[in-house]
Amino acid sequence: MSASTNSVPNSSTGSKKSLKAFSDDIWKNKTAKINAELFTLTYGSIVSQLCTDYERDFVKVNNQLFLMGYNIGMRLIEDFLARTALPRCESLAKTSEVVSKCAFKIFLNVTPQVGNWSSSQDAFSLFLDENPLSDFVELPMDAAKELWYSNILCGVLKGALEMVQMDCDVFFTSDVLKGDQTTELRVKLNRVLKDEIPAGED
Amino acid sequence: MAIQTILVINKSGGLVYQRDFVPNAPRLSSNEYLILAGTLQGIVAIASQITPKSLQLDGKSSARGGSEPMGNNSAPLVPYMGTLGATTANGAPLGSFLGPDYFNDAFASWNGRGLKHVTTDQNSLFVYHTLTGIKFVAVSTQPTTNAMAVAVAENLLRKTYCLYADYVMKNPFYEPEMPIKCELFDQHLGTLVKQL
Amino acid sequence: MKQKIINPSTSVNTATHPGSTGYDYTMGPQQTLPDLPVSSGTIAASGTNGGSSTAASAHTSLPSVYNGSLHPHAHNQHVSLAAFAFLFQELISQARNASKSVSEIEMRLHRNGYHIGIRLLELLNFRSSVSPGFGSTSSSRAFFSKTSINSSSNTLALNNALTTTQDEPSLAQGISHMKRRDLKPVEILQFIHSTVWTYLFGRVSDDLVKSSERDNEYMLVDSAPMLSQFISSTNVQCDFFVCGIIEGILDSASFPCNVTIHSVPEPNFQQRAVFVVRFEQQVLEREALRA
Repeated sequence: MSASTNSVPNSSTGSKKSLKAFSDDIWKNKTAKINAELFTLTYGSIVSQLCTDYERDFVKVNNQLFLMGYNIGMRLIEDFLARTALPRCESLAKTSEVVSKCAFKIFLNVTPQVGNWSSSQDAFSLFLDENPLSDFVELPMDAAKELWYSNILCGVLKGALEMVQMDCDVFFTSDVLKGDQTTELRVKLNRVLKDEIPAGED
Repeated sequence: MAIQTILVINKSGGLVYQRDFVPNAPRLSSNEYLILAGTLQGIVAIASQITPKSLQLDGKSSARGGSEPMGNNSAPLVPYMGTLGATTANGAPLGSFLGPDYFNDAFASWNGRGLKHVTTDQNSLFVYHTLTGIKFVAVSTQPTTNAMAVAVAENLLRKTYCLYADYVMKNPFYEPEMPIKCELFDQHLGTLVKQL
Repeated sequence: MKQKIINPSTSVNTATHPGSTGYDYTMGPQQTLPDLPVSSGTIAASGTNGGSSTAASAHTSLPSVYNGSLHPHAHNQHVSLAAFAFLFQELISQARNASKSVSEIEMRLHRNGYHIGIRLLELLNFRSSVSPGFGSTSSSRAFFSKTSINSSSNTLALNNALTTTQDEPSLAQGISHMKRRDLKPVEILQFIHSTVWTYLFGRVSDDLVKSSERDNEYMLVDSAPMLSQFISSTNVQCDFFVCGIIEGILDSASFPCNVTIHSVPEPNFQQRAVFVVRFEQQVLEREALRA
């Protein structure tokens, strides 16, 4: 955690608060909302349908959820940028902050904790204390080993970050649904796709 | 000042949307619009190359200031535009983007050295790019360099981006990067331009 | 030892069935009492020295969905409409890719909605049985502090454990009598028109009318359907998803029917939709017998 603050020279504690206040304001006053349970139930019906369609081959279900998320992420990023008008993040630390405090907040009204930075500062984890996708969910025994129930989130992050020219690997390393203590989502930056950054940026 | 045309150009320079709002203004053929889109794409890239170093530094510092929302030294406030996208009785709501004026807050344009504004004797052309590489272009019926008018145009293009996020991106029948044929996007954009 | 002849739902041997490795659907969900710590070791500990903190921590380390409150305020109440809209558009894309015809897409959306509908009836019935005013956070807190003051010192610790581990009181405490089952088609449709619509979309539906032509037909009108509001009209009716929800609810309430949607635009409401509910003949026959 301390590493993240060190590597962002111009993000003092004051500006951190302001990103939170900025996101809270967008969530509270500028965003149309819908019943979270309808969202949870809809996602549940998607996952359970996939489990049936793929005859409980959970590896395939994981992949399909990831793919769905990827498609969503490529579209969702436009909504995020239109809604926030935030500029490009100058570091991965800043990215992690924007993802957790801003993106998760204004779409799902949760703020995962950022932590577990790799020594080379190119990977971090998001710890989801709350996960609106998996409220009311208990995995059946056969699914508990292999299924990453909320895998769609990985795809969303992958797709969204790719659209702002960051090539990342995103995957779950633990999930409370599987009996783990935490729900941890790992984001690893492979490279910044410099060639694809639109001309005219600083 | 009225808006004559709005264009949307995808990240590879292809024209995906073009619409005229002035019924009997001179028009370009669809092929000419495609060429215009491609040319703009190139000019934007060149503009960023030829911007003098001192201006680049300027742009940099202003973008940095804006990167901290609500920070002290953020970009100048885009003024409140009254009925623009207002959710009042006569204004059309801006889809899932709520609030009296969605862009009542300051924001920083991050393309500090990209092309933003072109003026001729007849028209002005405004460009807004997104971080993902999409360009929204508005052409006005009269030339203007008036700061207020530029702010209005910029505000309009940002709202167009919001409508794009709602009525294009959230439409499962739209294929990314392809020409936009979404009735609801047309409708809401029409209302937005009419409110000017 | 390990023979599972009878497995009472309330006393699970946590050694053989640790916390949350999933439920065995041949046995069904295994409930643990919500107000007791899960492992027997901690029960003893909190019983002898009244260490409510250990009980609480043991409890939070083993979350179980059955311990959660059904109170609508117990969880996040809202997510952004955008988040839902993106999920919904992807659901439709998937259905479109997997289907050969328009009706097949609609059938898939309908099926997804149906899964939701059959889960909603009991929950919403239960919630609407709660007497009005109960469970607003302040009143529930007051309720709990009162019990812990009144209780004798022996049980105080346990009560503390209970209040700390449960954010919200059980909804059941706010129910004096359960809402009666809806027996008439009109009653259950009013339930959908008001309770269900408010739950799903934050407002009641715009109209509920009986068909003048057919006895078994009713129409629910929504002048601005929420879920499909960003989708430009195509030949695919995306609101078949909502039809599925309605049909799921009606089916599980023993009103077998068929729900379809027709768009009937009006000048100010271009996306106005009419949901047509057609009950099966047996529903009318049953009505006739009751009368």
